[in-house]
Amino acid sequence: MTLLSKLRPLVKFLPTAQKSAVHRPMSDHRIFPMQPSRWQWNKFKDLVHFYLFLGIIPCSLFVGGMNLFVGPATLSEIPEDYTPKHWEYYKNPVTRLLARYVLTNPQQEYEKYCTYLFIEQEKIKLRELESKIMEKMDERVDYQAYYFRPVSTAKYYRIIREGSADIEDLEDPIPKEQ
Amino acid sequence: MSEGEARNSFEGFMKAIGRAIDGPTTWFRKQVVEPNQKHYPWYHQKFRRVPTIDECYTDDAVCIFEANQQYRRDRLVDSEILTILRERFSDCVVYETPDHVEKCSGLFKEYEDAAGYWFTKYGDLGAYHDAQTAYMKQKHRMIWERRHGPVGSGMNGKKVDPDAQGD
Repeated sequence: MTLLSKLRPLVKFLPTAQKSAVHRPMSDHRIFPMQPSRWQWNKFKDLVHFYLFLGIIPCSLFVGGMNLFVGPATLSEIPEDYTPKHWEYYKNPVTRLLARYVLTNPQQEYEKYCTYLFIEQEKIKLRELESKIMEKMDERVDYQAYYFRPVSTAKYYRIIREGSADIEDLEDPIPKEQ
Repeated sequence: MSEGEARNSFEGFMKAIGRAIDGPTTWFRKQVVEPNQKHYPWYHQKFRRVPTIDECYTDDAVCIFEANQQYRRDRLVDSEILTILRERFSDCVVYETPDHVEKCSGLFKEYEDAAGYWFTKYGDLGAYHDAQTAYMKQKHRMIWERRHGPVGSGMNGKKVDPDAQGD
């Protein structure tokens, strides 16, 4: 390449007209080049960059840092009078972090499910009792309490009373002097 | 790699390659990683024992659930014990071949016995089973043993008199 650039001054003495005569921009056959689509290849590069820079590199930095500067825990016996926290059952620092700040306490979930079961069991028992009572009442036909539906007349009375008071107000808006 | 002087130039070359890989790694581990790391413990979780399925009332859903969960944990532990025994035996075979028939038969007997006990408790129960199924299986086995003797001997016609055994 250095040889070519040394030869370059030799071209300079060619007349300008001669040089421009080489290229005549008159009727170029300029066409749109036909070639296969590069869209999928470009998309692929986009995705590679996206996942590499926003996913793989930060994750590797984080995990590497945790392993370098925190390190794995050492297995040991549980001391007397000490109940370990739920994240202290894991060895890896990242797993501990996730268990501590992201996931819920397994014991809490377990007890929640126990409570759910207990409540459902109580409901089942109540339903069984109810059906037993219904059966007995059907059988003996001497007790109507279960089929008695109290009609709350007081509710409708209050509604009508309020309505009539409103109508009275409309008829005579000026309050009477006492 | 054995310590000491290399016996010939090829061994020296291989040792140099080993040093070139191992040296920086060990230096990084000793000088950078270990001084920066923290020391803290982790524990094996120990679950408190809950009442088993035979102590639960039939309408106590929470007790049954807890017994089932404990049964699952126990089965996991028993399976892991079995896995350890099996791996001991297979490691022994790999290491001791061609003398494995003499040297590993003890381990094999141990594993076979443990697997037999495991299967007596958990076997033939299907994919979806719980503490109650296993409990019923145990009950049936004990009745069978009272009538016919230990499991595995076959019925072979002669019945054991339950009154003579005293249970």
